Amino acid sequence: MKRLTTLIVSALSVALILSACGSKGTSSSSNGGNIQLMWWGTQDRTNMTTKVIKQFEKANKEIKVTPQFTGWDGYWSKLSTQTGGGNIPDVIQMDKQYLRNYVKRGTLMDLSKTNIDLSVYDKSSLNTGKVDGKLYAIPTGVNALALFYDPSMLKKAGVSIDPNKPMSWDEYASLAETITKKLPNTYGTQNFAGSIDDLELYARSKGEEFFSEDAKSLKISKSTLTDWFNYWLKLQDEGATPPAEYTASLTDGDIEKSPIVKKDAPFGMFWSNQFGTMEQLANRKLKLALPPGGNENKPYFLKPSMYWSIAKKTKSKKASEKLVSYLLNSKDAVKVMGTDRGVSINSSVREAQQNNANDTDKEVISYVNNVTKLAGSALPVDPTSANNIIDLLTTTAQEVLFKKVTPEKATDQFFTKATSLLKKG
Amino acid sequence: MKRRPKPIKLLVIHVIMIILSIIIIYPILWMLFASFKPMTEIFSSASLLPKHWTLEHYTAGWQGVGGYTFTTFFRNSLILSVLVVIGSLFISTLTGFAFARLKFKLRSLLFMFMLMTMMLPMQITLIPQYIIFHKLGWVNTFLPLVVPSFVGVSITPFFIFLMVQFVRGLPKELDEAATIDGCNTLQLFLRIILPLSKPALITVSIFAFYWTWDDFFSQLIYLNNPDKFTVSTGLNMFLDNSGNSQWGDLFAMSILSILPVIILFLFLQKHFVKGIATTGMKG
Amino acid sequence: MMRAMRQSLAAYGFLFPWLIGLLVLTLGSFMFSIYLAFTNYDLISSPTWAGVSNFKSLFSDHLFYTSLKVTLLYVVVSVPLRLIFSLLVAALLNQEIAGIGIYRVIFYIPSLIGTSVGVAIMWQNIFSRNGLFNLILQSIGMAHPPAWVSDPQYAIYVLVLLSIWQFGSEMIIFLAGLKQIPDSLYEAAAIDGANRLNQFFHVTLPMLTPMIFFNLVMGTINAFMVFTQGFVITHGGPINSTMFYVLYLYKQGFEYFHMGYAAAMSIVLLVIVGVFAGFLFLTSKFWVHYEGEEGGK
Repeated sequence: MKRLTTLIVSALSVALILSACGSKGTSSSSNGGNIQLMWWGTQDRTNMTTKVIKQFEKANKEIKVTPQFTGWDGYWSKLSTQTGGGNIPDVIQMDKQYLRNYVKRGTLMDLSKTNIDLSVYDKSSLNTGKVDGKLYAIPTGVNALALFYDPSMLKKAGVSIDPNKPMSWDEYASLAETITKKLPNTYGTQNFAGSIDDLELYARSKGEEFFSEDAKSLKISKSTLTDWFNYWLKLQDEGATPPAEYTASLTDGDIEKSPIVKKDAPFGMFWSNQFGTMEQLANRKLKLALPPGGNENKPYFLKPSMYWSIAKKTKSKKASEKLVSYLLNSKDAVKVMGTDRGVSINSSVREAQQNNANDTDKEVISYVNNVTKLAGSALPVDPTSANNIIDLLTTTAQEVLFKKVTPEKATDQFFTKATSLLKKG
Repeated sequence: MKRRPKPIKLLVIHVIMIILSIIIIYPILWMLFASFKPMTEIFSSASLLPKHWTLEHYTAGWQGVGGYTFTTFFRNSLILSVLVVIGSLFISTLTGFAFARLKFKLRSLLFMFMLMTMMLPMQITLIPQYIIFHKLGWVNTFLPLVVPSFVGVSITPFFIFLMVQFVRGLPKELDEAATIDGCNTLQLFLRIILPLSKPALITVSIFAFYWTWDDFFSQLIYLNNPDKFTVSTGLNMFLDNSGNSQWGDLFAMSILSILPVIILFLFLQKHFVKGIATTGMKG
Repeated sequence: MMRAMRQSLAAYGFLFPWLIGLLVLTLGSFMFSIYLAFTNYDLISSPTWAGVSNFKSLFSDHLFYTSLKVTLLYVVVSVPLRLIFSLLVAALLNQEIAGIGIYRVIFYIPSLIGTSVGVAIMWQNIFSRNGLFNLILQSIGMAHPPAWVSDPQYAIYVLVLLSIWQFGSEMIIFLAGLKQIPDSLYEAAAIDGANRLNQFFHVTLPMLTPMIFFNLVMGTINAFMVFTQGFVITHGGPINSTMFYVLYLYKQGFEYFHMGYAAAMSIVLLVIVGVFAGFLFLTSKFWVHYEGEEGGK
């Protein structure tokens, strides 16, 4: 083994010798500097962000911002390759599913020890950027789970709902059953058995959580998970949700294929920021309502749409702080960005967002305002194995819906695997 | 002596070809027509043809990102692809000829090792290569994408193996004749083998061009700034995890992105002609 | 002796650029990848030595076996079908008739369009529950066709079909190979009284064996490396029925941050593909015919 190691070292050192110079010199004067800002997003977000950067550079002549952006596909491969390769960007757009991984490996800076003014943000939402009590990420904004519905389809079925008064899960199920009976070739609701967000809501409505606070174990009880699988399986058997093959084609994020788009169902549960796109895709007027859950246990929650983080290794700490503050709080930035990165957790910025918004966005903002009032405790940051567990839940739910295993057995399987993944960390 | 089919046979061939063409091309029509549909129609309507035709996806999509339009992305992809074609032709002919025709120590071992490098997924070798290129200061330039093709790394082992197979199929009497005429190895390579390898060289060019044009992962990893973006990294910007993807723009630009490759192929495939030696020499 | 030395020297001259790449890039990253397989490596912090623990957990990983099975099925079904189809089409396209160039382009377009997200969506559309394919099946009397791409039983075959649809690169290699066959051989065969079918089996096929061999070896290697189809079209599902080996490896490495584990997977893959390729090379002695070497008349 030693010889092999020597071989590797020598092969790599050939490359090192060949290299004329290492990383490019970055000026590290106290205030100025050249900072790399990395984000994912579509054409729109990127163009808006580029504009904001130009404004920022104009206001801070000593700072130069180099943008790096990609679509969501590939963003995490690129970021981890760069980080592993010793080339981490200074300011990073972060996601809930990945935050803890980057924190655990000591790559991010504790933002409570910086000059960023944290007093302007909503406390509870700010907590969603904390890992082990330290703040590593500030939410750019929040989204809330919402029940999207097609009012005209409900009217046709002769039913109605009150968007501000949450249903219980049982009420939702019977509503779905009624619609299936009343309307030909229509399902009551999309099947959400495999969605971790909806399951989280379900668990919270029973006074539970999905993950424990320290992210080292599952907090949801076995019986709740079994109930959850049974809930959707029963609806599927009754024809109130699409059949398993239909549901299996709707993997996470592919909202363009949702039954509500195709007029196959009047209901779907999605994130509030997807509302505008959903209306466009469906090509008709939709509405937002509180998802099922009842309100005794305060199940509703806000999810950070994304965060800003700063690399621990940054050579331009002050400049990075300035940029993050600007992106989060500047009125000029809000004017350009609108709610693209979510509904702000800074109340004065949120007001500005509301004033600039078009009708659809106004609907979304007022919905998020409503959930903010109702929300219970914030969700802890995802465990490091979150990606793995989400995939596991998707697969397990598919096995239940395709009737390869019973809900009880599926629950046991899921618990064994998830527990061991969480333990490993 | 060309073998020309009789008229009835000709008709049969055409009929088979046309039916096959329709089946093969049909899936692409879906994308083509979707690129002319307004966003509200793409997923909500089941009909193949748009109800309302629009060019908005072509004009909006072309605007690109971060102040750089698809003009820049096409130019970058073109530069990259052409450079990789040159690199691939260079390395595959030299190395392929050596492996196919020359005897040397370690030949089988080296050849085996070259094949083995193709059996490791690039997702694994990416990290060490990134470290090397980062140390060289090459990240955010075209160098990590071009230089490997000149020294037989990344996609080029495929081409080297292809050349080996092709050259091994060329009659060996040619070499002997050339040696008798006083050609040295380099002259044999340049005067005899290269001209006879035209079909293989065209094949290598088409593949090297297209694979670079279509490559996403390494371009994503190595190119940071929008002025260096290529078509495939540009296309990636239309997609979003939260579902707010710009489908129409994506389809429109995807359609445009295959045009240069089609044109190149249309132009190059004409040169699929027989080498000089194979038409007459043997018998 | 002298001549052999001279030729060896000349060979290394020709190989010089390739050897540089080998020493600087390939060997280094190849060895490094092997080293990673014996470490805990999360991509972000430095690797730490882990002995053979990655391999141990690999062999008790249920999904590892599933992904291996899925990939083997894909290799065994798609490689021969693609080979036969591309060979037949290439033979058809190797005629000198008007408009042949257009056909060649049309047949090549599917391969040019790649496996982007756009292709994924259109492919999902055609093979979905009420997609075009099922409309055709229903019109010829099949009452309840399956939902192909989202049915765990059939999803893999949709991906196989996609790979056959993209048969263009093999087709082109065969076209190039066909151009290498001297007309004189056909003439000789015609004089001997062989009809077209006989000519195909006794002239075309044997002369094409180097290219068949190439496509077989590369097709096998590439089929083992299949990733994108599973990644963009089915995301490995439903119920992991399209969880290709490299897709699982990618997930472990880049999504679950177990790069050491992924490296161990890649070593196992290397051995498996190596065995397959080695086997093909061994058999090649018996059926591959090189005009330039012994046996060419």
